[in-house]
Amino acid sequence: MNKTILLLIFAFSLCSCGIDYDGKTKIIFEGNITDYNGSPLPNITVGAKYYNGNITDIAGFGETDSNGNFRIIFPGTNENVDINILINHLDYMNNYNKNSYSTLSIGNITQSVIRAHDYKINFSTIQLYDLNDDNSVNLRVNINKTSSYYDGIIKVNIIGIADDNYIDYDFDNIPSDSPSNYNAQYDANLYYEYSRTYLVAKNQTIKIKYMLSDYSVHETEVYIGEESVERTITY
Amino acid sequence: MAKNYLIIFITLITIACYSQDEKTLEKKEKTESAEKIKPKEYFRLYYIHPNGIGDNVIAKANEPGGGIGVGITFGIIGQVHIIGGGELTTFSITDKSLAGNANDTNIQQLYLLGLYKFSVNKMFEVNPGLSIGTIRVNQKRNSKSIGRQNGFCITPTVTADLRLTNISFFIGLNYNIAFLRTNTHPEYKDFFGKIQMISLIAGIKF
Repeated sequence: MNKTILLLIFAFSLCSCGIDYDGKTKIIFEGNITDYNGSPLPNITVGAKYYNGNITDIAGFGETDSNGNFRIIFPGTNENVDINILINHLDYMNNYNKNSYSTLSIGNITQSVIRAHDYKINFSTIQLYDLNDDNSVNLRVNINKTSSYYDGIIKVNIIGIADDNYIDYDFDNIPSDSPSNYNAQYDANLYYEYSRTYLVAKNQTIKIKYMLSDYSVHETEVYIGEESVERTITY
Repeated sequence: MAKNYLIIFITLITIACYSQDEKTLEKKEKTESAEKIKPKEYFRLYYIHPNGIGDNVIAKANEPGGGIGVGITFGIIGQVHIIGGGELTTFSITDKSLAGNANDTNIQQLYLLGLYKFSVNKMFEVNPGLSIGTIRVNQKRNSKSIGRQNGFCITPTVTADLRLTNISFFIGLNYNIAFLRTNTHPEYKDFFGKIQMISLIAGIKF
């Protein structure tokens, strides 16, 4: 009897795994991808990824056309699940990245953001750069705690042309409809000290944005020339 | 392909109209034929070759697979057979940037069909009809559902029957227009919310 109940619970847990898709809702992501000089990049893969705290699933993907334009359409969900758009992360057909351009993820796209945009988000122009062009330098970002007023750092975004970068669609947005209570998640993941090295394109100005534990947003700019740069920020 | 279906559809409709004129002239013979048809058709089973047409996700992002349909005659009013039935058709997704990361689209329909019986002669008849019903579009990836859409559909249909003693063989065309519940940007409402198909059907009635 107990075995039967356990088996049923196990079967139920298997059934409940995965994203609960809502086929009647169709979400559209579109935009344009160019290289560092503004020339359109064809055949760059773009994917929409759901993550509900346990399960990751690619809901839709496509490629840029000869003009660098992309449009992917994918189903919504019946639960509050954030969406990330993945730029040039994978060639989903071959499971490897077949070009040498940088990659980018844009996240914090919640269901309420989708509805606010009437189910269609235009990302306008997204720039990548060729990592083979000897056009990269390092940007070292350190954020150090000096004040006892703040408990820590919630998140950091490097806004500019960088490789393997993650940025928020709306940095200031603290979503109330995200899985597992976003605010609690933020509180649990506070950084006291932040330190990371980014690979970035030369000759650009990068904006460093960070959110502290009181949800205040701060930003600073750093110019990237021909040499690697280290920037230390205190709070 | 769709144009070929359209030509066949128009041809069958023309034959149906012609047979109607013929029947008007030979009313008595027609009534007798209809009387003969009545008791011999309770069940129909048929293969479906679906084909999406127009500017919608079925036509632009899927290629047809096949399908089956069944129908049961549960009433006859004059020369109209009232048939209840169901169809299941499948498509393979060819453009995932439009349809999402799924492999297959399955379409299930339950319908109520009114089929008008015209006898051309003792062996042949042409049956125009109209059905209404419910429709469910289900996208799947490796047996996992990637979302369902429900709605209703209207299907003008015409079949040509070859009648043997206890069984009939038929071929026909269905034009199917379905209206699906959709939440999306207004620009894409019709693309996902109004699908059209022309399906070639062939099967038996007994």
